[in-house]
Amino acid sequence: MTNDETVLECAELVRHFPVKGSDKVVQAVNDVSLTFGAGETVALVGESGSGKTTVGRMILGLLAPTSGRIVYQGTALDEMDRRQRRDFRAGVQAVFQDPYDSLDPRRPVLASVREPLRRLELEESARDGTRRAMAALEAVGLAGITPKTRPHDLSGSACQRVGIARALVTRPRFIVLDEPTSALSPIARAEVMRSLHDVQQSTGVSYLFITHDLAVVESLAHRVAVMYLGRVVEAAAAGDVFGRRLHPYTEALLGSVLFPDPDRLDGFGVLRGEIPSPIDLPPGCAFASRCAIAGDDCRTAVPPLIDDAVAGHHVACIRQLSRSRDRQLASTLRKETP
Amino acid sequence: MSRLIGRRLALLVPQLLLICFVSFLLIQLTPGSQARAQLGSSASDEAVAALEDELGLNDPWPAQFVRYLGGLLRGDLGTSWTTGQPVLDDIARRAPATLELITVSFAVIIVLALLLGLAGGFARNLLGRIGDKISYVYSLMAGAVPDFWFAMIMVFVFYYTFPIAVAPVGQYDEAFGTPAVITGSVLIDTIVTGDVPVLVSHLDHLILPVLALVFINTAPILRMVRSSVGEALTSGYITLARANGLPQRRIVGYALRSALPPIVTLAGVWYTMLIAGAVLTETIFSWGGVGQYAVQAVQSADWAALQGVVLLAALLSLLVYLAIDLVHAWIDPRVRASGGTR
Amino acid sequence: MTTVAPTSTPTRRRNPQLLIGLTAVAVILLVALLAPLLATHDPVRVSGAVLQPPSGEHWLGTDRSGLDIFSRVVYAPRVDLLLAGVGTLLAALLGVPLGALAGYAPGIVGEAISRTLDVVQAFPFFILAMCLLGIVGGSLPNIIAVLAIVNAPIYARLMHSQTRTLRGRMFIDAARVSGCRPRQVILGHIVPNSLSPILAQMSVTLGMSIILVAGVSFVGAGVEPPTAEWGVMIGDGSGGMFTGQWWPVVFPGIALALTVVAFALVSNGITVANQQRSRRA
Repeated sequence: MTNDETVLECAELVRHFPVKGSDKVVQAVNDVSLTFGAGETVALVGESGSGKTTVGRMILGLLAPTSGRIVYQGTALDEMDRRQRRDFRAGVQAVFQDPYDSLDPRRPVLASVREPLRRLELEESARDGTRRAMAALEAVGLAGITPKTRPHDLSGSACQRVGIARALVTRPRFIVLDEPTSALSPIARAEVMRSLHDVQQSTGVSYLFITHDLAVVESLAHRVAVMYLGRVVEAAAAGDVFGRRLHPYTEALLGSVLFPDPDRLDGFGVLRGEIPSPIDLPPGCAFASRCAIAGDDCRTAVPPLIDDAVAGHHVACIRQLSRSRDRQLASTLRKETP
Repeated sequence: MSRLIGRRLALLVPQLLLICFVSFLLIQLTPGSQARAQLGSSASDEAVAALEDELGLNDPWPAQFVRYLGGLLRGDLGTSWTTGQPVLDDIARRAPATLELITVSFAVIIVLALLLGLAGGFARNLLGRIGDKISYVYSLMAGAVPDFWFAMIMVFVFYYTFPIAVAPVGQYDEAFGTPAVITGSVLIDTIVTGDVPVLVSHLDHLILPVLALVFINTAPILRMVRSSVGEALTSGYITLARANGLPQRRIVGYALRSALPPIVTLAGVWYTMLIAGAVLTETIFSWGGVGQYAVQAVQSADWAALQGVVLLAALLSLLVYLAIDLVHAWIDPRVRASGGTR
Repeated sequence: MTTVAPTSTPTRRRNPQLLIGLTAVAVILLVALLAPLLATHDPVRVSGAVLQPPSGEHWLGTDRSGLDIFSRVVYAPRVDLLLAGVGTLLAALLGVPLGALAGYAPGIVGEAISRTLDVVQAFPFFILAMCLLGIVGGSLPNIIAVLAIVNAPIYARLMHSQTRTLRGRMFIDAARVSGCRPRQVILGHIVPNSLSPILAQMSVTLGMSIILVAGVSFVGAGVEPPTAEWGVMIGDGSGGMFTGQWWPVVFPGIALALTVVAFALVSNGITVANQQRSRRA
């Protein structure tokens, strides 16, 4: 499904939150750039507090960036006119983390699913809106919803699929999935993942998949970006991230969640040390305080996210980058000197 | 901490200005000309117009407001036409009696609410459940009965039907002489000078109005204490403390500490409620305080006096709120750390 | 395809407070409505000797002008409920939008509104009401306006904190993503989800307003005699409490207190019902 057309792009996104009663700021997001192709799933992974949800909220227009641009179909979010703004609203949708909390408890779920059509004036009549809402619900495998069904009548996974139906009802091109499965039981999780996968297959929608669950990432994502304390530290095709994992943080993250096989733990770094406060970030690499291979040079400047020799594999680590380059160089040299 | 106090004090200035402005607006609402009111209805129109000019009543309102503020800064709240005295003097003379009534009632309320609330919060047995029912019914009643009505019922029962109480008029029986005025509060003055006969007479007069205020106003604070303590007692750290076998005394201490901030807030707010509650109680018992002065001002259309009472009552409330914020910052480590306000 | 079966059926929970409260309110409304049928005498015309104790002719006695107290007590809720009801409604209509705005508007606007409310609330409720009515006069529209003004900050406060709490909920984010403008978020999602505490507060305000009206009428700044109103009646009979004529004061006070209790029960009942519902969800 993936092709080269760019649906949405964010460039150098920064978001700082002022700390109440002080001149300091929380640096929630620093210099994050991401590009989303049509039909592509990009997973944004990281621990809680890494800024991944903030990135999602900025892309959705729920939070204004401190600086940086979000461009949807060629137009920047803050330069849109009324009509473009409406197209953006219809074209960029979201599924939220808590299935119960993301549906208004006072409203029938059918009204919640219909709401985007109604607010964005995309329905011909109330009847048309209701019909399309019902169709969206059926598309995610929910039958038997009546105009009176309310969120508390439904199970968690059914609620989450109502949320997906709401995100789909406007036929969006891009959906932000903010940990859509973290509040669900394993079986419900599988059901929701299957729904999401089917939807992408049939509509060609792009996903930004925000999660800390790497097992989920592997099954759905085409590309993966790893965030640590507000910055993307590694970004690559999903297979490359799992296979080559250049950044020591990615390595540690994989070590902390994947594979219940103790023998395989050896290859991965285990996280030690303190996470720096996002209010007082150290001058150099934010991960240096927990990194096994960090040296003094890591603590002087923030390492830029640089394209590794392998196409599309970006990493923000001066050691791994040079090591990888060395390896590359070594193999080239080996080839040249048989 | 000092930052918090600084910010809170900085907020006080616009709030004070706003209070003065509202109080200024009140007078703008009065019907008819203030000049006419001063000169009486027999004065000629020319005389009224001349006085209006002299008083600056034809100036634009910002100029009038600035003049009003200037007066306030000099302590000039205008002159009461019923007493012929400056309003500030009138109020200053009556304020101690009112503050004494409120403060004594407040002290009794807090002690009662804490004792009964804590007992209720800790009693887990049948007695506790019965206590719950009683306090529920009591709260419903105390919240529904008008304070002035209840005060009159007390007069009827304790003065007329069972003549236990002294005649519910004034602060003491003048047959025992007049106490020396030091602070203006008869209670404090008689204690300081050792004027036992007047002190006893004063206490006799004090008991009914205090009881009336206490009955009506204890209920909300009692409920707050009970629910805060109950909440603290069911929280995880108390369970842990129990599981660790800490003595009951320590557990009470822990629970009380975390239950304290909301209790302090409500108690503070309730002190300001007593200012208003005292108005009618004073009137019924002819207490001679600021509350009764305000009622007389309403009844005789003495706007300057009324405006003065409203302004000073609001100022007092604002200062109490400020005190609540500061006490809060002091007892609640979270507020202390974040430097935030309520 | 999964067929959705309701995981819980709405069950009627026990809520005696709401039941008793609503019944009592209904009875009081009925009394007010049927006052002409229930009253044994004209409430504002002299119908016998002054200060008669309760008897077969005058069930609750007569006051110092010779008016029949029973008839006045049953007529009074017409005035008291009208004033308190309309005053409360206006207070909510005034305060709710203000509070929602203060809670939803970012930074300085919200802060300014809530600090202004602080100041308005610093004026002691009763003194302010008494003062305003003393100045503008105690006509019925004036009393209603004053009730609305002194009570509105309570609703603004309530709505402010409701909005702040709800704003963090995901369904508000979802509504914004669905294309709701701020006004639509507030009216379509925040206000409906705050209805229960607002209604509970309105029931409390109704009761408190009745007490307030009685209080200002007691000092002569509210409803004017000889209108049948509980506070007027208590004020008129107050002298008798020192000399033994208790009935002109006691009966209107009891009627007033029962009315306030009824509204307090309704308020508690609404809160309980809301807790029961959210526990079920």
